[in-house]
Amino acid sequence: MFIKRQLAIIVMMSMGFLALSGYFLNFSVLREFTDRDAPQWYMIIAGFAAFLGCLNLLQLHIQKVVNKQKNWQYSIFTLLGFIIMIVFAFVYKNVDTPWGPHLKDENSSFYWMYNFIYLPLASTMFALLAFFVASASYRAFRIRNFEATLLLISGVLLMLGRVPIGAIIPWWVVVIMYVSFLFAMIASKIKNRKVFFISFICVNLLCLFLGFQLEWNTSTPLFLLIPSIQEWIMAVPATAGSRAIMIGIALGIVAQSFRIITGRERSILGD
Amino acid sequence: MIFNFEIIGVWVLVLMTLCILSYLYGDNPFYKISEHIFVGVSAGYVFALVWWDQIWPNLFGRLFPEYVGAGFEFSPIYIIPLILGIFMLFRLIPSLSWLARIAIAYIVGMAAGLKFYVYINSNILMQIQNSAIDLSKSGGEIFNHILILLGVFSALVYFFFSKEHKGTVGAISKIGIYFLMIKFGASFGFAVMGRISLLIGRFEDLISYSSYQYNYATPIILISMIVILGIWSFQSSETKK
Repeated sequence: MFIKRQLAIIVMMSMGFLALSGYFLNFSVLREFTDRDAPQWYMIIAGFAAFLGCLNLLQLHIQKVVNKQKNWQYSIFTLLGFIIMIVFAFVYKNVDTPWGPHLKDENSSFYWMYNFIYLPLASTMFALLAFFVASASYRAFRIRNFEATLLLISGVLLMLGRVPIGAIIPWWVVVIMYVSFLFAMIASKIKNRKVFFISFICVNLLCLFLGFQLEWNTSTPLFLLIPSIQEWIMAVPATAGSRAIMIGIALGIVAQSFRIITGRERSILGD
Repeated sequence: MIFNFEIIGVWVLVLMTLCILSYLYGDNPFYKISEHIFVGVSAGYVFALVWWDQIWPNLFGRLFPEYVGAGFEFSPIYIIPLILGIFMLFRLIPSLSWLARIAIAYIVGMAAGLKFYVYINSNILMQIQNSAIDLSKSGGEIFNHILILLGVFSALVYFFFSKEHKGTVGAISKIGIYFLMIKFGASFGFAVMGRISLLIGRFEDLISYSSYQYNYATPIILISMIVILGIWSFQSSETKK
């Protein structure tokens, strides 16, 4: 019982301490192990974990075909795809390149499978998500609150700023966008609709008049250019948001790592 | 009619692309077949890549350096990851599956030890350092730095759940939500652009493969698929009735 349960925890704790001590102890053998060998071992065992996943998939689909479960016919295609890839990776390569580098040889059978089957399937699968993202965004943007509006504006400005059409949007369109955004924020404060619309049009006209007076049509300031706005969004508020997320994630990982190293976290081993 | 391996490849490519895109019509046998092929081929691809790029040179290259010739010296200590790797595969044998725990324990423990310091250093301390206001810069840049600091602080307050988000804490966390929303909007924009560019790439391929040079692969496969899908949907509606 000890060897089945406690040994894994001891291995987990000791490896955690060993890896961490490599950063704090100036001991060359330990340092070399944590810098070079330990990550390499990690990658090798992770590779075996990938093998485990593949074998598990194979086992699952073989069982499905043998037991003739629902939609078992499709499992034959999975098995065929896997077996053909394995044959071209380990048995038949069709080129003189040595085993291993043959995976990247454009004339090898393996590369043919990669180029004409794996690559189009993977990219079309992700491309298909464009349609679902469009429908998801429509649903997300239907939620009419300030947060959803910020999400919409940030997303649309980013997309517009990164395509050629964004650069040819004139300054007065951006001025109207700014004024519309301002009025969207204060819309709930103004109860009378007539007053709201008249003031909206007046402010727009005033801003446009001011723009022509300041000759924005000849020398447009950066805050009225969509690509510049996009760059600013990415450089300032989006950076702040992503930085906070990164710090939050890091704090979580450090706390979890501490629990693992001290042996408090055992659920990952199936306990 | 031109016939070679490239042409066969192009026909397979067009067929696979259209099979996946047929999902827009609904779940159908074409999509299911291509989906299953994708799973199998991906698994085979990962298997081959892991073996030839990782296990063979880095593990066997150190255990049998003369035979593999990966440029490493003989290192008997690498027998340990080999044993742990084999332990990992024992997960498939129920009576020995407990051995896989030791391999998982190594991965988890090692990752925890290595990431502990790395994350404190790069994702916490460095990010805090980068959020500091540089007063030597110009007015506009100082304003941006203040905004970043305000954004980072308020968004972190939003992630702080030990205190109820009311009063001052609530107001600050609300500002944090705004910054996070802008970030999510930007990420969303990137995701949409990425997917759309992939889709454009697929359509470009389909258009270029519809020429005589490729034996009109796209129109022939597209028409055949539409006809087969039409017959299939007609038959399935008849069966339902």
